[in-house]
Amino acid sequence: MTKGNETPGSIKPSDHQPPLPLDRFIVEDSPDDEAVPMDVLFVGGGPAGLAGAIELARLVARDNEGGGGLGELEIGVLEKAGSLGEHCMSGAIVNPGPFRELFPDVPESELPFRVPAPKDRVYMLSQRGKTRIPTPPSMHNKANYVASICEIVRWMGDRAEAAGVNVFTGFPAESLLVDGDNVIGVRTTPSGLDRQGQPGSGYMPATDVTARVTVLSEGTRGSLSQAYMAWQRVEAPNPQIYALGVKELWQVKQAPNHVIHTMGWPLPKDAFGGSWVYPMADDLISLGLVVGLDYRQHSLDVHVLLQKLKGHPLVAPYLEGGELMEWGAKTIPEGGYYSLPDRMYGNGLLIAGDAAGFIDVPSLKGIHYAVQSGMFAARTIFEALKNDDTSLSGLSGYDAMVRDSFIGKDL
Amino acid sequence: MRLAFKSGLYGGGVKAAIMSATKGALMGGRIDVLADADEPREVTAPAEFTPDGERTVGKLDAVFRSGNATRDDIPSHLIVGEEVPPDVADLYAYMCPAGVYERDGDKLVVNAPNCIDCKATDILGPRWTPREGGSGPSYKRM
Repeated sequence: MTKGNETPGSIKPSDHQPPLPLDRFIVEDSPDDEAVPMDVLFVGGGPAGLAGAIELARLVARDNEGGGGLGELEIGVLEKAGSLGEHCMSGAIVNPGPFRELFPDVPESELPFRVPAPKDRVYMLSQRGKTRIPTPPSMHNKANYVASICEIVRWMGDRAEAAGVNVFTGFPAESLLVDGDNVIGVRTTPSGLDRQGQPGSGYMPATDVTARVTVLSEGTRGSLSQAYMAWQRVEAPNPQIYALGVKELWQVKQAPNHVIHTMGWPLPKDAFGGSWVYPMADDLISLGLVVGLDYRQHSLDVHVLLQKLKGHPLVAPYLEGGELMEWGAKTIPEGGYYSLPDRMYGNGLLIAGDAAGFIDVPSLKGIHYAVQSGMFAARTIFEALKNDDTSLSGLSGYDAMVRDSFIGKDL
Repeated sequence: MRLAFKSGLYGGGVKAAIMSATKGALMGGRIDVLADADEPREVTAPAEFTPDGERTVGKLDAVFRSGNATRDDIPSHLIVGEEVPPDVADLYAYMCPAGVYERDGDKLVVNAPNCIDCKATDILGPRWTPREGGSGPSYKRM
């Protein structure tokens, strides 16, 4: 697939990229006879999906106590990981605001965070040196917490199940099931296929799950969110742009007593990004490196750059005598406000969290936007169900709710 | 504010400072950007790196530390373009933190079970599709 418009020594990745397999992701088909009927389905059991499910369960329970007449609703969460949290990765320093709102009965000290964020330090690095620079106002972390998103999500999952939410782990959503331009549920991915795609031992066919409203809370670069927007021709002022973060968790002798962010080395000057070192406990640190995927050099390797960073005099002393416990990587939607889709709702559909692009780069945060957008999705759905209108117009209040909130304003 | 840095770290820093100081009133508007896959890449020499196995790890060790226990005989969930040129195969190999892509001679080799669902591939290269439940990493405290 050599293209004539490339200059020698230059690559345009999109020239070699296959198209999105829309016919696989959007399926116009009736649900099969054994379809699992849900009223509302969240695709993705991260902070957005679980927050939405918890908030919706609470709104419905309160409505039923007051004789509102909605009756019992089946709320489902599909998660592709074997158990909750296993596919979630984040820095993370968390703004607790939306958690306080979602869990008003839980004292802040019992929220699933590690330690209050200590004071911030920002450095510009050279290969051997460091220069401390003033912390940009957006990067101050006073009143925030260092946390593990895996731990947050497991904790939220327990609360969701206690509230009667059906959490199905080990079920990726392969396709949106549609009827015209109505989204009527999802079809899961079969398991137990052999290398040629034929049923092998332990084969389990796809399952259909129907819902009046499907919420795509798939996380970064969600396949069904991409497909929905391409299929419905939902555009955005700008394309979404991404960064790749590689993270390591280290057991150490003594963690730093600051939140550390760096810019500069080991990144080349034509790449955007930086690193972090966060203390999660006296003897546990999270460190990682994030680089914008618009980097200009084809041989840039974020994993290798993180390995080099660990040898820098600012970082190396913390790792001396320590042990690498976990490693992971994840992309981050960085486009901000102008990359938000023109609509984040449709007939029987809402998009929340990273899948919609709710990340604020100046403060380096997204978890609390995910939680808040899940709650907004729940409130929108609750009203739509009360009005018995889960169509595009019945769910259209969601966009204004998001854009008028701190999410829209921060981004 | 990320958009300001499209013009490089230093120019971007100035623009971002003005945006912050004026709370977006100045230079806070939309700046045209290309999708990441449309940004051209210069073919460059890779950095030298040999993992020491203690402080630094290679990609295979790294994937092991992600708790990835995807079975080896799963069908590939990655859709690769036809006839990927060697330089593009290298781009994928450097981009993927989990060692899914490797160049063998002029051919691209895809080690799909290594994938940890970071989605970088779907942004710059081969398309990601879902695979059987429970595949991928098993992060515990990430």
